Amino acid sequence: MGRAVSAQDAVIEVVKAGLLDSVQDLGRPGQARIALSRGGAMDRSAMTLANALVGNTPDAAGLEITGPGPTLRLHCDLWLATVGARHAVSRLPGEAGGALALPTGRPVFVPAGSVLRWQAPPAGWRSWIAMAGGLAVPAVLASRSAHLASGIGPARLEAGRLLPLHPRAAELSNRRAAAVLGLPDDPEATPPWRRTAPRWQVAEDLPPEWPEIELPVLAGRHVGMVSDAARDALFEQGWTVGAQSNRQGLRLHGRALDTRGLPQLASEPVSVGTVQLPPAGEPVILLAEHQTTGGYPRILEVASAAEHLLAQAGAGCRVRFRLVGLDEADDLARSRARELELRLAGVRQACPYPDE
Amino acid sequence: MTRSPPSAATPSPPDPAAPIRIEPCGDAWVMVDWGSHPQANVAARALAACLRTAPQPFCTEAVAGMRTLAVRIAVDDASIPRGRQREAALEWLRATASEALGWQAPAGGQVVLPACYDPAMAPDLDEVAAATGLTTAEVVAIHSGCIFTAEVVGFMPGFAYLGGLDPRLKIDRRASPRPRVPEGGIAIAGLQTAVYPSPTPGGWSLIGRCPLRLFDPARTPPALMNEGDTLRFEPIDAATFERLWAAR
Repeated sequence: MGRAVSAQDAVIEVVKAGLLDSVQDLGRPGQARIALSRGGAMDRSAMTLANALVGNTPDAAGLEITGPGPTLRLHCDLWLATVGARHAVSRLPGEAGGALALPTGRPVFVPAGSVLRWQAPPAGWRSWIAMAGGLAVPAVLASRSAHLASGIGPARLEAGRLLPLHPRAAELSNRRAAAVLGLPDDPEATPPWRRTAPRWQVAEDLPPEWPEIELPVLAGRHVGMVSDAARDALFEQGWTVGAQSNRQGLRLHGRALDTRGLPQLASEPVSVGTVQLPPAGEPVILLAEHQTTGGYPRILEVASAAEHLLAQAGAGCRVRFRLVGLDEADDLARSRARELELRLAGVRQACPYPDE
Repeated sequence: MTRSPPSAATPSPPDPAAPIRIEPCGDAWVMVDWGSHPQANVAARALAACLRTAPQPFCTEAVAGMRTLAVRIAVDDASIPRGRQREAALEWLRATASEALGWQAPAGGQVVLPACYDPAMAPDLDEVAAATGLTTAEVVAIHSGCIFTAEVVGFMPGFAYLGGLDPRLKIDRRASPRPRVPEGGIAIAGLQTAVYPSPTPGGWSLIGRCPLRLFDPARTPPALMNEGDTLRFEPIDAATFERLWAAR
């Protein structure tokens, strides 16, 4: 590391990495023609909500954390929000004060020098952390997100890394915190941590029966190639999410389906939510960093309204498929979109951020 | 409706035995599958190019695959019901997909990739020679004499399925895939060749290695091989490979 980090540098220091933390935004849609899948936050609605909570535009970059989360040292005052799984966030005792549990689902003001830890969530798997002004890692192909599978964008977090924040992160944080908490926006006038967060929080958005997850799915265009017995077995059993699952795909384990006689197919475009059936007979659900073409039979397509459910499927979760038609999938998507709009409207009302 | 077929039509009568499948694929995509029609790959690229140069309001992305085209419908535009967008896409594709069999794909760039066929970088060259009844020198001469077309860009950034392999080099995929193919590995399987942009497991036979960086996000375009490009391989010796590799 070139130089010492000073007290109010606009950076976050990774003290200890979590299971898998990465810089994410809304990804790189529309790049399949260069074989690059969308990537980005696994649940774009949660990322958008987290950004709105701290006064950012939806495309600002934040962090995605998975299971046991990271320990981060904030080198400047920061207005941040954690949305997603039930991650417990705590400030470790240190120069900024004693140990403190921090609320989630709302913005919270954290003074410079604080060391925060995100513990493994008892429910859910991934959370998204937004900070006022966003992370200022360089944009590559119009996004700051890490596409880990193809090595594009910033690498996953590891101890010692410094993540650059917006150069005016401290100032933005103080002004925005003041706007929401009704405090004077001069950080010298009032200890900013006297009151650190609003009392409200946004409603949790986890799969209702987590770790049981029911996924609405449409029939895939190759489902007719599998036997009736295999199709029955596909829907009748709960599939266990395997530990090798990552941002590329969910590997499911269960009673393997009979794949004898399935033809070899030409590679065709696949997308987030495509459920492939490799010869071993256990389905794979493609996720944000999927390979853009695939040659295994696609037996199901997860409804696009289920993005937030897929994002919370961690190792050991049980997944069941529920067959829906196009009309129902469209209805689900419509109500998801409306729900997000309502949440965002609520945040805008509760957070009267100043124009900047 | 105006659209610009990429170039003058070359009549190629549609194969009535290969019906075109046009159907929704999940709730956000529709898919065209031209089946075994000999012009299927060209039609996919031509129609994808058409949708990119003359965008249709129902479509936000067109992706060509082998014999297939996936069209992402404008599902994020809340002002038009998704069902209507999907119907518009299906209707347009039904009217266009068979016509596209008579189109030419837009001409791509011309790319020459240096290829080192030195035995140290071609672990399967002997096996390929044995399987095809050729000498290793003949395998190299035939491979570097082929003119390939980047038929589908997919799998991972920088990768392209290159069609046009001389049938004398046609071999099956390896019985057990290699756990790790090195970056730049040049491989063949069926009537295709490919170059691996980064280390990955692979089931094709490795017959050489290319020292160039196949994908670099800082370049425009980032990939050396793009949809529709014409490619050939220029043999280089191991010393040249080392020099080019070091200069990346």
